[in-house]
Amino acid sequence: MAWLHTWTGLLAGWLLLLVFMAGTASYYREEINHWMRPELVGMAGMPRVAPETAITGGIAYLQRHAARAENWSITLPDERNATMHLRWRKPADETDPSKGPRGRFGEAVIDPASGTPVGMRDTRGGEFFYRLHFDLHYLPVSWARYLVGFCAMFMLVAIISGIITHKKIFKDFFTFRPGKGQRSWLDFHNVSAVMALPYHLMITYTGIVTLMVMYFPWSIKTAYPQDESAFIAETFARLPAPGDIDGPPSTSTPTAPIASIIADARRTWRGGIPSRVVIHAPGRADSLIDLQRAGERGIRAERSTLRYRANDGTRIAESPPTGGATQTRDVLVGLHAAHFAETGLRALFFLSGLAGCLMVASGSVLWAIKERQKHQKRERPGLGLRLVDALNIGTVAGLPIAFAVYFWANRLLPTSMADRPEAEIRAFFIAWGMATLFAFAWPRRVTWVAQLYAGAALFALLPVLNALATPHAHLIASLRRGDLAMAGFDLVALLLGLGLAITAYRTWRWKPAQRPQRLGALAANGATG
Amino acid sequence: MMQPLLIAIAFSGLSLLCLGMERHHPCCRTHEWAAAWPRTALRLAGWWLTGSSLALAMWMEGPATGLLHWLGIITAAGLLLVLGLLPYRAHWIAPMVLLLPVLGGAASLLAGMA
Repeated sequence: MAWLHTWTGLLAGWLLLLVFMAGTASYYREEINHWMRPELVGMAGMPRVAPETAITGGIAYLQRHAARAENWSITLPDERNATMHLRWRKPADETDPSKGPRGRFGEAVIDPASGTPVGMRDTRGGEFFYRLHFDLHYLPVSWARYLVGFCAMFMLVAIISGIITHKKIFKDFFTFRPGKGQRSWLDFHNVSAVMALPYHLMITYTGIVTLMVMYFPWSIKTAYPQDESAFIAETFARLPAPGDIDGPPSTSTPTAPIASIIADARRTWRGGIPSRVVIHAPGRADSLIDLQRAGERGIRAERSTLRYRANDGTRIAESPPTGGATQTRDVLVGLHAAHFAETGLRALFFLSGLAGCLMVASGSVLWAIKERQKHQKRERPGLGLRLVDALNIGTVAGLPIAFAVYFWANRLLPTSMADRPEAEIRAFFIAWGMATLFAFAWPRRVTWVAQLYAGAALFALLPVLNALATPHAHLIASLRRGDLAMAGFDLVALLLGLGLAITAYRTWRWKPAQRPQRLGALAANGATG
Repeated sequence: MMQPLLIAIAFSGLSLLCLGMERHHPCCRTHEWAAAWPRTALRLAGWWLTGSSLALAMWMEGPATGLLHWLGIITAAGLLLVLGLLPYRAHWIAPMVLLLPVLGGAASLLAGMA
């Protein structure tokens, strides 16, 4: 069973580390958004706007700027995000094919109180990490998700086979013996796995569940030959996509009955409020409005939705009640995304995610250490070990550099730059690529140390960069304003930098265990020198 | 605001379970009360406190969220204990077992009154 653990872990390890790091960062997606849009610091403390005001303002903006769109979508502000996000699907003749699938959509961020766009730098913010952890950015979406799904399955196999091969899981529960070479690495790998084992099992299994409809597409194709979206609607208790809406152009605005629609939704949901509004075919007389309910404070990720006719405001459909299987799936997906988690619990999820990163990283390093010991007898390290060493340095030490560089690019790139979000993302991948190239050219300990120190400096100096580039958002000012998202980001960056610096220092100071026959020679040297 | 008390009780419980093990019991040498207790007593007290922290978490936040919160706290306490205290500051563990619940209780009381 040990070979199964070794090989599933090693083969999936590097991609899993990327997924784990980006996924762990996604717990603070909104806070990262906030840090990366420092122009909005003033909005964080503003009182919440009633959904009626916010939605009316959003619709007015969309009528002015996206009147011909095929649909509009309005995401309302919540506790962790003070802005309102608008998104619309452009008509076919307005799409920009050079931007790929994203060229079909227009986007705007507006102030929910005034309905005017907020002036801020263009960035993907924390959304980039969230998407990265299952879409991998440059790969076609479906390929990326298959790849991530299979890596997650490898991970599950690695965790379960790891539990089975860990013979003294209870006896060694509290055991970590530093300074003992391979022994210490095994201890560390065990501790990072065992201490957060329920989390590791949960996040891996629920991660597989989030992508579950992709793994066996053939049965879905057989049962729903015409329309896969009907399967999704029935399985997840969603409203089906509206059919073709091709009525005559509308003369009245859909703003008129929106207040009565929201009032009806509040009554139906017994006080619940909408979190998202989708308006299908806004320019036509038979336009439809979907209201999606804001999540209750529960684990289950449910999406109950009401559908109204836009012209007279009558309710025509609602999402069907969920059955046992759908509810189970919703709980698993809810556990994975942790939208329900309050500040304390969210921090604990983040910590457990970091433990997962350390588990994956230490496992890959442990393989290289074991392999090197085999080679010490034969003197010549093989190509496999060189490859693993280079990939370890490139991901374990290189990825923190890439994450930090993404944040540096956010502050340093000119705000007027064309296609700025993509430039930030390119900075992430260029940094990662360079770190990996460097590691392949020179897979030595000094490269480990240099890259760990580089990551440490880049993270630890983020609060300084923040203070210099955006003087109104520095740490002291954020603390004084009570802006915990901005201040927390700076402090966590400082702590991560400190952790990386300690790792770099200890990697540099580490001395290989002396072999007994050489100890005598060393003592002799010491006596003469 | 029972959070500080909850974290302290969970940490003390886990630490007592650790001190009650043959391998880690020598950490108690420098502290009279801990050295005087037999290992079985340390372990029983550890189970009692760990169990109480789970019960407290579930009572505070409901069974589902309480369980998640408790698992997270145990992870955090375990990482601090195993990676921070045991290898480098083992003699801090026994006093922390006593001190933390007192501090946690005081913090909870103060937060409750404020």
